[in-house]
Parts: sequence; C-alpha cells; structure tokens
Amino acid sequence: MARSTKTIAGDETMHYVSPRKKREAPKAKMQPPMTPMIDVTFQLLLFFLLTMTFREAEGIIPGTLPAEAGTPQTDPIELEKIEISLRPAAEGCLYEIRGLNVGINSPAELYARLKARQDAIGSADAPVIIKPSPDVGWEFVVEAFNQAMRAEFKNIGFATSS
Amino acid sequence: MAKSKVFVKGRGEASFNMTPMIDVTFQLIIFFIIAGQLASESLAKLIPPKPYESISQKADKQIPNRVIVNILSRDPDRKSNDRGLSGQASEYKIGSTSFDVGDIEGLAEVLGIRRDSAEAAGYEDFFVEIRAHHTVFYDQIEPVLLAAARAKIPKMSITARMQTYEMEE
Repeated sequence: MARSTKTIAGDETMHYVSPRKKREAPKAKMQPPMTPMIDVTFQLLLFFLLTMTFREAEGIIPGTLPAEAGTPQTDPIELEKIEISLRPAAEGCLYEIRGLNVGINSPAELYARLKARQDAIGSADAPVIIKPSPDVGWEFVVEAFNQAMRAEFKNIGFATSS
Repeated sequence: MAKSKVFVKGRGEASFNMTPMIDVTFQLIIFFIIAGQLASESLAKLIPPKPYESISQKADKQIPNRVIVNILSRDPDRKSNDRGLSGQASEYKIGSTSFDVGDIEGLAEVLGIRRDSAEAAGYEDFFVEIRAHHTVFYDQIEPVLLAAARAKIPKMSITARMQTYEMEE
C-alpha cells in the first residue's frame, strides 16, 4: 500500500499524513467551468442588443369606414360637404378643397384652410370626404385625415372608387 | 506585528460572484427572444406614416376588439428608385395569415369571422386597424376599406406614428 505523504515548501523531506487526517481534510469543490458559458451568453446578448431595432411609438387615429357603395353617413340635417382631393405632385402631394380652387401643398396650410371652412360653416359636424387619386401615397392620405381630425371635424370619411 | 482580530485566518481572496450576473444575462436573452417573436406576430415590419402634428393616440391594450390589417410594400426601402414599385403592396397580413393584394372576398370573410367572435365574447366596439407602409398607394389600400365595409365593420382606425414632443425647459 502506498504511504500518504505531504511536501512542505522548501523542504524536500516526505512527511507522512495519516489516512484519518486525509479524510478530515476539506475536499476540493467540484464546479463546472463557467467561463465558456459566460462567453457564449455575452455573445448572444451582444448579438440581440446590436440587431434589435426600437420601433417608433405608434398610435391610432380613429375614424369611420366608407359605406360599401357610397359616401360616409351624414347627419339628417344636410350640411355642406368638404371634399379634399389629393393628387401626386413633383414634391409629394397637392391637396385641394373643393370650391377653393387653390392648391395646398403643406399640412399646416391644409389645417388652416379646414379650420377656416369650419368657422365659416359654423359646425364641426360637416362631413369631410377625402378623395385621393389612386397613385397618392398613403402617408399623404393619412396626413389629410390627421389634419381634418386635428381641426376637430367629427365626420371624416374616404371616397371609394366603386 | 499584531494579528488582526477581524481576519483571523489572514487575508481573504477577492472574487466576483458570477451567478447573479449570469442569471440576469439569461433573463435578458430570454426577454429579447420572446419580445421579438411576440412583436412580429401581429405587427408586420413596416413604417407607418408620420403626419405633421400627429394626433394619433396610444391604442387601448384591449386586443380582442380589433383586427390589425398590415399592408406591406414591394419595395419598402425605395431601393429601386421606382416610385411605382414602392407604391405597390406586396401582401395584406392579418397576424400570420397573408392575403393577395385586392382579395376583397378573402379579407371580408376573415374580418367577418373576427367580428363575430369578438361580438360573441362581448366586444361590441369592434374595429379594423389599418396599418400600412407609408409609401403604398391609396388604390392598394382601398380594397381593405371595402372588405371591412363588406364585413359590416363600421369603425376603423389608422396607424400613424405619434407626435414626439421636445422637452419643455
């Protein structure tokens, strides 16, 4: 049977260690190697952090849908319709309010004109109908809708081609 | 030199406790994976319009009373310099279900089913949310409006990016 020995630094002499002392000695802890796992985890974390994109805050603008074959519902009391037509222009879109015969190319101006029309009619219940030409971008349609909502019109709808 | 009364066994070894750090890191990874999947389920990857002085409001979290129709562009990044291509819709999407552009019948059927199940669950103010890429032309979106009208859904809402206000001094 091999005899248990221990070495002391600077001393080459082999010292005997009894089996009892050996049993009493604290056992070495078993621990899985954590370093590769941490490496991989950080790689994954970095990947997700770098590849993710934060979406801009989205909201909704409430509205009503057009009737299947006509214009949006109107009040029993007939109010003057405000028709906004949209057509593509060199730089974006040109808005026109029927009856004004003026091309509007900025949302701020559209808002001002709508507000003025509302004051002239004296009611926010007048139906606003947005009539885009087929090749107008959705961003401009939403722009017109947003400005009409901003002007606090209550009855805004889209004209459909069918 | 007098022996320390606090550190009787001599100097202690300084070491980092890695366990909480790994715990937190795993939590973050799981969050990113799950959040990414959830977000892509009902909201397709597109850029909605951002109107001037946007009045869009944060939607109610009550999901069952609405159906989101995503309208994606053929060329969302305008890589081809062809205005017409970015104006064309590639597909309509409700959740993970895709529809061909102009498929009013298919859309109306699904919207009708959604409306019925929402009404059966007690949600009366059911509405359709139109979430379209900002470059898509109106004639590509019009079939969705018609399909919703055909499914007898009177209300709709439009997805738009919200107004961001600068910090007031």
